[in-house]
Amino acid sequence: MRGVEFSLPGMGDFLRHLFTPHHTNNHRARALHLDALLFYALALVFFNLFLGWFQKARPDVLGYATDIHLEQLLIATNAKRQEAGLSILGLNASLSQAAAKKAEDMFAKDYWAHTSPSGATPWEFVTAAGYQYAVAGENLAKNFSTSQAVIDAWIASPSHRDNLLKSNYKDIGFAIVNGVLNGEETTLVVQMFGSQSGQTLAAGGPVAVKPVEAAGLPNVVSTPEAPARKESSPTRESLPQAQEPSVVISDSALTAVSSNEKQAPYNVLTQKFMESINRPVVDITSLKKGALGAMIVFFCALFILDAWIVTRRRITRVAGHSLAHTMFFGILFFILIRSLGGSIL
Amino acid sequence: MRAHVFHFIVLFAIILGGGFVFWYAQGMRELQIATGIITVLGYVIWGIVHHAIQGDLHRKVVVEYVLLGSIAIILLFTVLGV
Repeated sequence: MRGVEFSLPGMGDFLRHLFTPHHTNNHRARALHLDALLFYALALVFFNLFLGWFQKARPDVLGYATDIHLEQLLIATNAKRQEAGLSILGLNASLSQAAAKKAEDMFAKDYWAHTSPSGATPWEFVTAAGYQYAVAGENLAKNFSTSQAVIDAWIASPSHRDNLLKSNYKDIGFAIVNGVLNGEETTLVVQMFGSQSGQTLAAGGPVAVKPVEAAGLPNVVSTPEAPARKESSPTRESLPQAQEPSVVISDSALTAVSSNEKQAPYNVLTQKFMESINRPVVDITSLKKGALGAMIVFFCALFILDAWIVTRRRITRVAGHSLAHTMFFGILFFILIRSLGGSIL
Repeated sequence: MRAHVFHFIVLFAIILGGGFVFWYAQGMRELQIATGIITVLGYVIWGIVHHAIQGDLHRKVVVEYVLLGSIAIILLFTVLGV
């Protein structure tokens, strides 16, 4: 029987050695030793390098999966409005054109904001597209994989929801554009709302409302009582009537605006701005979520087990604080997983 | 024990504060990276100070915090696509 003691340890002993504090591992799970931590760090670096290389080499296999359509966005937006007892919005060629130019400008100047670095407000794109608004608004979204996810995110945000469900609006325009923003492959969705001078508003009559952008809000349509910020509150007199956007969309990007937009609302934009469909074999966002989630859960589970056993057995040793590590990686988990989703503005 | 609780409240504030700024800086990648690195540095410094006060600071402990901080930064870079 003595030979058994010197034989290879059984699976139970091996797992105990690997994952729990034990005298065989100097009272620290082997998987938490310094060399193991170094191994995880290096493995993560190689994982990152591999993802980057493979995504470039085979984007059809590994890439960002998106399935966003203008028509779906319009239907979902109007469905939400109908649920709220509001009138549906009509797809407007000029607003879609303004949205497309805004998206192009964001990619060209590399910004994620309602106002461009050069100070151009959304309203300038609206008027440049030939839409003489009485009321206008803008919602932005990026890096969502489906149309419904975009609408759900806007509805979940009070300020975006207010915008989407504003009774003053009559028209809507969309642009869905792929590009690189802040060094990151991005699918951008621009949603523009408006109501033209002279259009009858749901409230019962034309309302002299001017759009202003307020700090922290995706867009605000000011009421006469609302204080307007000087630098971003174009008045009706100061509205640029024929200002060209800083980035001109190529001729192929926009088709001619139909004289009767209601008859051919989808002829406004080319396919480039109407949808984003990418179906790689493996969605890189899901892969990252899975890998990061598994790693952090693995760490947290080991640290919790370690803290529990060490406290229970009153083991004194020289090591970092497992509860501190658990807290750190626990919060990190929520932040990183949340960051992998889309964002709205 | 009271000091111990205070230390953890400080750590919680560091991580949560960093997380809030990171979330607020959505779309500003440089700011997010800077926030992530500063938060991780805060965590490593907290660990060193905490163990120094507890009287069990050892080189192994410092290396452990640095390695875990490095893993956190690499995870952050993975998410941000750096």
